[in-house]
Amino acid sequence: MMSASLDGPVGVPVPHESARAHVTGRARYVDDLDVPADALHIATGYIDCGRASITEVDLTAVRSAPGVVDVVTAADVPGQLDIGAVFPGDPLLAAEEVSFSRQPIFAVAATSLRLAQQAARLAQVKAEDLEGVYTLDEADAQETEVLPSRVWGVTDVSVEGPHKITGRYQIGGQEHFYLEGQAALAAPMDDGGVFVVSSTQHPDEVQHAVADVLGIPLTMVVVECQRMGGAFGGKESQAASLACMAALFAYRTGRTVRYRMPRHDDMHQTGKRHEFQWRYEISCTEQGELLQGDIDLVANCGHSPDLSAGIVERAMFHATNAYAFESVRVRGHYRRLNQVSHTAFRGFGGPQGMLGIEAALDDIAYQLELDPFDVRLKNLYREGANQTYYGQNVEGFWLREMMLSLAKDCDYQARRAAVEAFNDSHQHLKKGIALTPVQFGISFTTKHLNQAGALVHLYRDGSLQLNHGGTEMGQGLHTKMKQIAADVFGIPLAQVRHTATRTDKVPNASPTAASSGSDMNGMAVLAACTTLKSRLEDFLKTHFDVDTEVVFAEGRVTAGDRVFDFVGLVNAAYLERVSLSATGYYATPGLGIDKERGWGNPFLYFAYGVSASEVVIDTRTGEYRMLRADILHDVGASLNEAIDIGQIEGGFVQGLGWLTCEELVFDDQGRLASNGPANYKIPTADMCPPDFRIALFRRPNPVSTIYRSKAVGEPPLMLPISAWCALRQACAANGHKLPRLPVPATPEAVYWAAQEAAR
Amino acid sequence: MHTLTVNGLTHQIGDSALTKSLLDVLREDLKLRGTKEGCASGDCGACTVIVRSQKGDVSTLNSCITPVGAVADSSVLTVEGLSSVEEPLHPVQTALMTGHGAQCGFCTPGFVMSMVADQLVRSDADAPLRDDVVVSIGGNLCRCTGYRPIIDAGLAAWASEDRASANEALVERLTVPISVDASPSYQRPGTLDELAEAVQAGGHDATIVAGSTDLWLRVTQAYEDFDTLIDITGMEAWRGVEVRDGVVEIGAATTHAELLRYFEGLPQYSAVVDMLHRFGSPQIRARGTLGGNLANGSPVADWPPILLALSAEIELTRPGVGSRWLPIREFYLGYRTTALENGEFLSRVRFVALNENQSLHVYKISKRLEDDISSVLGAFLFDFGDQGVINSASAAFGGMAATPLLVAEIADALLGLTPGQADEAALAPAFRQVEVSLKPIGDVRASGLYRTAMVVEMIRRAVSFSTEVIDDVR
Repeated sequence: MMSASLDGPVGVPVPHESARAHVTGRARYVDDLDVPADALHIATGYIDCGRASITEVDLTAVRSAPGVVDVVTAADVPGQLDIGAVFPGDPLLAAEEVSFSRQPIFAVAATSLRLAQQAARLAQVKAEDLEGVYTLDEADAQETEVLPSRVWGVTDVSVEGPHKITGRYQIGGQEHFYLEGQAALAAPMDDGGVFVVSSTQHPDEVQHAVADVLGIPLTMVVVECQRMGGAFGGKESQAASLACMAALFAYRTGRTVRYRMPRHDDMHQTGKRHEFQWRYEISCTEQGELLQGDIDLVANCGHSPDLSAGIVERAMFHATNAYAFESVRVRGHYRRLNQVSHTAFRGFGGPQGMLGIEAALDDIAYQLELDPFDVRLKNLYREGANQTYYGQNVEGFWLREMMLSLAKDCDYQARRAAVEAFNDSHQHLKKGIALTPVQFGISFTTKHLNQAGALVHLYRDGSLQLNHGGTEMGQGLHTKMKQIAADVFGIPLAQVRHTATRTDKVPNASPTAASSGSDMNGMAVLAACTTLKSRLEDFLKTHFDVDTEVVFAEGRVTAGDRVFDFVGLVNAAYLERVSLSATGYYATPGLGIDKERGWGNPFLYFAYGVSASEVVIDTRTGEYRMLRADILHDVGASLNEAIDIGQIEGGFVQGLGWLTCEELVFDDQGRLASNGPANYKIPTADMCPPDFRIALFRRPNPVSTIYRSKAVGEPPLMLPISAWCALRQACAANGHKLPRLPVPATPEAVYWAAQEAAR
Repeated sequence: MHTLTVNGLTHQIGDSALTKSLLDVLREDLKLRGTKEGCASGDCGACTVIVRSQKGDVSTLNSCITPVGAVADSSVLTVEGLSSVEEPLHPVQTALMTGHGAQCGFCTPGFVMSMVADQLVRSDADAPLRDDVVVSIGGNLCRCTGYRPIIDAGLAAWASEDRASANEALVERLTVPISVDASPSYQRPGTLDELAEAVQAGGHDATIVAGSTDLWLRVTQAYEDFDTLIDITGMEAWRGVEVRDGVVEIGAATTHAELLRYFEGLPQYSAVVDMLHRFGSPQIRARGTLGGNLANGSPVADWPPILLALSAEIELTRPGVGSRWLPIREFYLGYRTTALENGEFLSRVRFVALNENQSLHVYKISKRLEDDISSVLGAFLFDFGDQGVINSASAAFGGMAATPLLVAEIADALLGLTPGQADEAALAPAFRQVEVSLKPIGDVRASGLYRTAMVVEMIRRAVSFSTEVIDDVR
């Protein structure tokens, strides 16, 4: 691993800009902010049943409970009740009907969070059960939907060929389990506006939702986000309701109001990764070359659309991963269930789309008695077959090279033979090894979100203040942005300060999502810095008669044989009335997709990754251990390799959790049974592979991205698909067939799969 | 007024603060907000702080599920106490910072405290290996990093040349005289007489607390308030392990960490040690007690099946009146119902020490290896006669019914077998008994069918001496 320097421009692995604040506990999150002594705290009230019609809400006892200052129901919302992010369907408070268990019906503001929570429990709510839909099978049989299905690829497919495989994979959802729960703080301003601090990936949307709920113009709402304690997509649309509730009470009471969700409420009331069924009929040649495919992706969207439109679309885009079919039809179905509305989660449907095709290729390999690695390799995009089924030409495709490189470096062939030998010599313990690729499309598939803004100020002492529309959730975005600014001006990183993301600094900003944070905001920061730099260069020309090339480096500005001190130059420019503040803007070029037909260029480029995992299972109990994981990941010309490696290994373990131990369990009324960390298990340190080798593929991005780097937030989450494939192969070694293995592959699931293989 | 000693400073707190969560008092009253609430249930470790008892024992705990009164006689160290703004950082902090061990940073203070505590209890010669670091952070969840840089930081911090001086300074900061005044709301009797007095004073409103790792969920999850607590962990007579005349006697207020230290030296109890390594987390083991685990009445608690298999007896004490010994098999009456009568305390546990003709086997199945509640836990005790034949046997299970269950029929079906030589046919009668005797339900942790299958496998393992052990592969 590279050694860390505490200072450095682009490309240097400097630590996270808040690292010192993190390790000393001085980093502040929303719940750590000082509030006035009369501040209020919010809890919501709900009923613990499935879909129901509310017949009576008696809040008398709630209102008279100790510490309670205000109570609201849907009727008290002055503006718009629905805060649906893209489509309507998400009321801030349920009015006549609850669509899912524990949907908030009323909210209490009290002098402490504890008193608010205690008061909320005193309500008398009566409701009559309504018919609900609580399983994906039920929803699919009834064809319930939050949005109409999409059909992409060839509309009339006929799956023919020497070999046909068919089946379905069950792919479970995932709870984000950001360590900092959802939180927002709202303070009334003296002109009727409201100032909101929100733990959100999308301050702009929070601003919109608050303005809509209060019925005031956007300009009256300012939203700030300094940092989040983890988000992973869970604070993209889901943060809005907390801010709205806090703002509503702030508006009504004139006090500062904080709404911090305790973990159990957070788990019940906020959306999760979508559960999917991946159904398919696929044909191939005797050699395992893909011919036709008919793929249905059936998503559990929960009770409302939320962000599901884009999530199912991305699942569809990635349903063929990096592989070329002769022809394929991909259909996406948006099933409505009476559960919390499922939402963005790192990968945004991509992981669910990709898992199925990887499983299907294993099925093919197993049936034809081929090495799955070879089957994958021969189906990759290639000369003459390099267009995705949705019409985008794949350029700069070096996944084959990466797969071969990793296979060599991790000694795949020899280890696969060793795994087989181990399995022959063991009756109960079985190993599996798999090597899988990831091809992840980079851009928002919603075109208008592909824009970003930045704001940069130079002060007279040469220090620089940087702001942009992206938010910091731990991914190191602000660190990279500081490196870019320092690099442009050739000044030390310590001279650059990053300030909190605010809607009054950069307006109309897109969510920090779709792995786009560095790509888009980096270009906007670069644009702003370049504008300022050009002004300084012009100033040098006009006032110092400089006519040679100007170089900004090491705190100095050099023009031929003349050297200017950076600080002196900035101060001189100020005295000569040069504006030292600039905005920057970026819109990703060349995107366009017809979503009805599923045809076009949704992505600016693709990021690639390859991983190989080796596991051992105990077929008698289903217990398993990760033995080793090797990764080769494409980051382009990295802005900060240490941060990128953090994203890669963190994404791997988070994805491993989704694929193995993290099991969402809902009961027959849609009540979440896995409702806390005692029964919903995210990975602990012992799940980090004991032998974990990560290498970067350092080829500059052929597409003109910021410093030719590549996005790295989401793609690594799909790397551990190799671990799931390895587990499935280990199960197969208990008999003579590749069994079904659901996601998550809990020890119990592995046990049953191993049993199935032996039958 | 009472006092709470944090980071070497003594703070005045009111009597009512003693029955609040330590985390809330740290964050709200003392404005020490580096300690975070991640789950309020002792599962994530974001609220981890270090405590040093008057005796000098250093451990971590989850401040979210610890009442202030429980640490009133201890010195508490939070992340703010590791280094002031002017001082250099602790080597653990430096290693995490330069080694990219923090991303969002929310869990970081908790990891820092767990890793510092591990250094404080380790002797100079006892350099941690990778697995030791993993164990030390087993009660801390990180959702961003995937743990690799945190584990590396733990190793790097130990190698730092500043370690010794930094840790000496911490121990000095933790070593302050503390005096504890009696409190009506949080009573911590040290003797039976004092306990009797406390019970008399507290009346029916008093709640017994013996570690609070489960009890406190009523405060943080159900928002109950306790006005009066009687903490029995100060009962010296109910702490520790003694062996007298071949009988092992354990005080109910003994913590799981203390039990782990005790049994670690005894090879015949290796199955217990293995179970304890997977019992909760370092933070939970430091606070949770044997008595709490038993009296709680949970059907998935890990100690009851082991003690059932050992034919243990438990002592129930009525302070000021007397005590009675009860076979533990008569203790569990129904779902979370026990034979403990109102006013009685579970005070001691005893069982006949294992001899060389006996073997104890314990198997735990859970969704996650570390810090997870058992889906099924099975415990088997065998007595061997000549040629290794099972002369007598007992078998008990957790997670298979509404109570921990001793199943004589299964044990009986194993009599006469010779471990290592029993084939499937020989085990068939025992397997049949599993089907007959156990009707587990399915829940969030496992299906009933899987639970039953696991009991079958546990029997097979206990009797077959399989050489294929998954952790030998790693």
